[in-house]
Amino acid sequence: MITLVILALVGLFLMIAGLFDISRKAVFGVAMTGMVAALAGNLYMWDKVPMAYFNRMILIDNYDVAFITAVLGVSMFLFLLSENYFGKIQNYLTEHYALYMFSLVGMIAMISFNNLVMLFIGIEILSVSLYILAGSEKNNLSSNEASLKYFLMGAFATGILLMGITLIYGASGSFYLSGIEQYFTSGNELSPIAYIGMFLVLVGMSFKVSVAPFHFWTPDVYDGSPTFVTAFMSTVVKIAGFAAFFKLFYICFSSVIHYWVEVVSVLVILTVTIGAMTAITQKSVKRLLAYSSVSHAGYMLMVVLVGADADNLMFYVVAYSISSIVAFSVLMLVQEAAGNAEITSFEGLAKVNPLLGFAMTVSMLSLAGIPLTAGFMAKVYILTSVFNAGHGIVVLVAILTAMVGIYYYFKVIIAIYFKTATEERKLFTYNSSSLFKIVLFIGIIAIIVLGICPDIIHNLI
Amino acid sequence: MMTLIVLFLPFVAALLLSLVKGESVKKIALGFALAELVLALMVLNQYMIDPKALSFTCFWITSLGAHLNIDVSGISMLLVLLTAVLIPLIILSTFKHDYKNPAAFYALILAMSGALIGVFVANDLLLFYVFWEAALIPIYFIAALWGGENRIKVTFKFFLYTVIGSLFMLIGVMYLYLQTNVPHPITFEPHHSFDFDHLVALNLSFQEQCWLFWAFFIAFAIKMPIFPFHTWQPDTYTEAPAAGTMLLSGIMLKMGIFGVLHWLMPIMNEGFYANAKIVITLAIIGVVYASILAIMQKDMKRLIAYSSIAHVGLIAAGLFAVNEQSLQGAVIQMFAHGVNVVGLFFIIDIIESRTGTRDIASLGGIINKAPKLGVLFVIIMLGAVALPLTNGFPGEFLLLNGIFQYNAVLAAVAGLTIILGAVYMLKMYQNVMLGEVNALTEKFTDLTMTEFAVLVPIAAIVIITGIYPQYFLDLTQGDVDHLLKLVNTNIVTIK
Repeated sequence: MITLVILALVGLFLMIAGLFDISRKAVFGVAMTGMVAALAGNLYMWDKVPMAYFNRMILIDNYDVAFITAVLGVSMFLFLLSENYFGKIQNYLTEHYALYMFSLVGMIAMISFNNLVMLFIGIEILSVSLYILAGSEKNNLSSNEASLKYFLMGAFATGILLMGITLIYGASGSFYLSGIEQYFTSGNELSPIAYIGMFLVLVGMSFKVSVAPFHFWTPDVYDGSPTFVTAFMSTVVKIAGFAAFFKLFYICFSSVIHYWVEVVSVLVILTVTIGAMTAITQKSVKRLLAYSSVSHAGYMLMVVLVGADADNLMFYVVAYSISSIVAFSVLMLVQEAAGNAEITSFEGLAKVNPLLGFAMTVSMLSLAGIPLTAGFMAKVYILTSVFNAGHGIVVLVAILTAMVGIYYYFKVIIAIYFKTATEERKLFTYNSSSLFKIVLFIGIIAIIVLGICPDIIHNLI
Repeated sequence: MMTLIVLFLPFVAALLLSLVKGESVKKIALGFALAELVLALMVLNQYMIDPKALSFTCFWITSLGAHLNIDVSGISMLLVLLTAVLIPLIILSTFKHDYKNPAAFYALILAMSGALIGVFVANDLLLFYVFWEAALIPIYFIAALWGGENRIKVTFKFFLYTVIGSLFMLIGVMYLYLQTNVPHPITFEPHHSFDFDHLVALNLSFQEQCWLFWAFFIAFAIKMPIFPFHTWQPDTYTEAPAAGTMLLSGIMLKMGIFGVLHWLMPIMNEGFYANAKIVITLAIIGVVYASILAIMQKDMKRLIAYSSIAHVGLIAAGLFAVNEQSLQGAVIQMFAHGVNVVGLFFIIDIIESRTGTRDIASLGGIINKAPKLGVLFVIIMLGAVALPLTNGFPGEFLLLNGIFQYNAVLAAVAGLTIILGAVYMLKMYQNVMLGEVNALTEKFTDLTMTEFAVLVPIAAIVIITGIYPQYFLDLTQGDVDHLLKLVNTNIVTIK
């Protein structure tokens, strides 16, 4: 609650601050301080009795605290790398920050919702901010395209989601999770509109977290948006999306799991396969990461499929987010130096700038799920639980696509270490500040430490 | 505790080494490798006194029930010893090369040796899997960074092959894990475990055992490699730098054999027995096929690569014949092959670095210029041919004897390896070392001190273990008996 208020106030303050002449450093400082304060307020709620706010539309327990911490932590991590991104923005700088704050507010509402209306409001606050951020490079055509595409597709998905929520309300007579849960567990014959509502919600949520076959917006939007926004969308937003997705299905619909388990397992299989298969042919690292994020969404969806163990989801999103952020941060620097995000721009990076090369390699290994990295343990946790739930086919498909995944992640590693840079590229200077290096270091160490001792964060919730 | 130090010293050394700059890195790496050898000998000593004191268990991942569980059996002791003996020799053999970025090169070799030792001592299936995969990353980088012309494509093929095999194994690992049901170490609730003892105690149905067998076996077969999973091997051996080839052939392929002995045989013994015939047939096809290909090779490195497939095929056939002779033969041959092949690849590296070619036809008469090399080459080559009184003989004899007990026809076909092996090895020796000195070999200089220091220990091992193999046989006798008991009791129950 206090987290939400702090972030909303900081967002409002930043909007108004745009009227005055405030230095860049101060704006950054305000945003960071706001996030630190919000994080502190959030951590204060840890292990307390679950607290309800706004007519019980928001209910915060350990699950929510953990995911809000992940969202805020990953955003702060990302913001430390934002110097280049924010440095280039000429106009409306404070408004940019305000939009990030508002999107965080939306995510927190999404994670801690106890009422479907709150879920919807959260998703809307988040989405509207993201539509604008995706188009924030005003003079870049593809950024505009990304924004428009995201907006149109997102609006559709929102409509479907809202329709689903309405139908569930029509059947159960409640927007509250507990009311819906009661309706589904009551044992009475369920109304057909409840099922239709459930599937519409499934489609709407799948859309938001880019689960195939509702993922078509993802590559273009991720590719077109500024890389920093892409990193934000594919990590922080994904954490919030899946936290909400899991909570909704775990609490409301787990008693009728036999109605949707097959649908979700098909979605999982489609997502991991399509994500991996389309990533093979990509020549741009940014697009490759976009498709890989689709594939990883499939793994996160597996937690919904199993319908238990939020710890696994937590570990997966953290492992995935850290690895992705490291990858995106290197990508940002390479893109700035080379002018594009092609794999060829990475050739010989290890010689020109060993730290960037090594960081990218570690993050690729982690995304590919090679042992001794966080990505491997994350996959082991999720796949064993899926196997345990009896979905052997899903595990088999996931393993087969992991093989494909290794192929495309290693294309990047091969470019970094084994190809030689062109003369022109050898002279590039990668504009990495010391802050950047520190964050990369922390990222590398976190990936390896989590890969060796995953217990650190796995048993929290 | 001592085993822990042996296991983690190479990793610590690799980390420290990557911080060192300059030429001294070679010597530091050698120092660490020798320290590791001393520790391994201390472990061997301890093993002789009380093997139980060498095992170590503590929590690793409580949420999964995985332990840092290490244990030394006779077979793993032998392989730890092999690793510890070969790594200093391999490092010493690179002294004349000036690799670019030496700190990374030696750090990767040491990290690799640590992961290999981890594979051999892990008694927890997840730990084993992690080390199994961790061993692959350093060797991939060694081969792809310092290798020959086609290295990128070839090593990537190798990497994909082995990773794909490992991922199949991962399915098996998870399945086995989910079948276990033991009290959680802290909460005492029913929980799963990766522990070797718990896995052996599982009651798996025949069908389960059969598919699990293949899930694991493909991973092991690719590593060894057994025909028809071998296609990555000749190219990778040829393209990798000499040290990489030595690591691959000398130690890494033993991971596959060890996996079969330590994990496959005890846990999936019915599946193992049921599929043995197919595997033996494949392995023996591989023996003959690879031997014939070896005869046709023009490149020395490729020749030894194919000969390695033939040798490993015979070892694999011995594993699956499951009797005392064949298992003991497989174990001792594993050690012998590791030593011999490292020696042979080193000799090829010496010849290549002096003449600039590995082409058999264009060389000749080297023995006139380098008698010391000639003598040591002969000894090591005869070891590979399995002449009596060299280390190749006891293993090959026991293997063929064991396979004969299993099936006489297969043993007769496998026996061709003795003839074919002699053909390709002697032909190579004759063409390279004997005959007329030509323009290429005219300026050939004899061994330097460091080269001598590598080859003499190898030749000494070839002869000593050839004359007195009993020491190694005793070391592994207990394990082999134990394995046989496990497999046989279960096979009786199927029959």
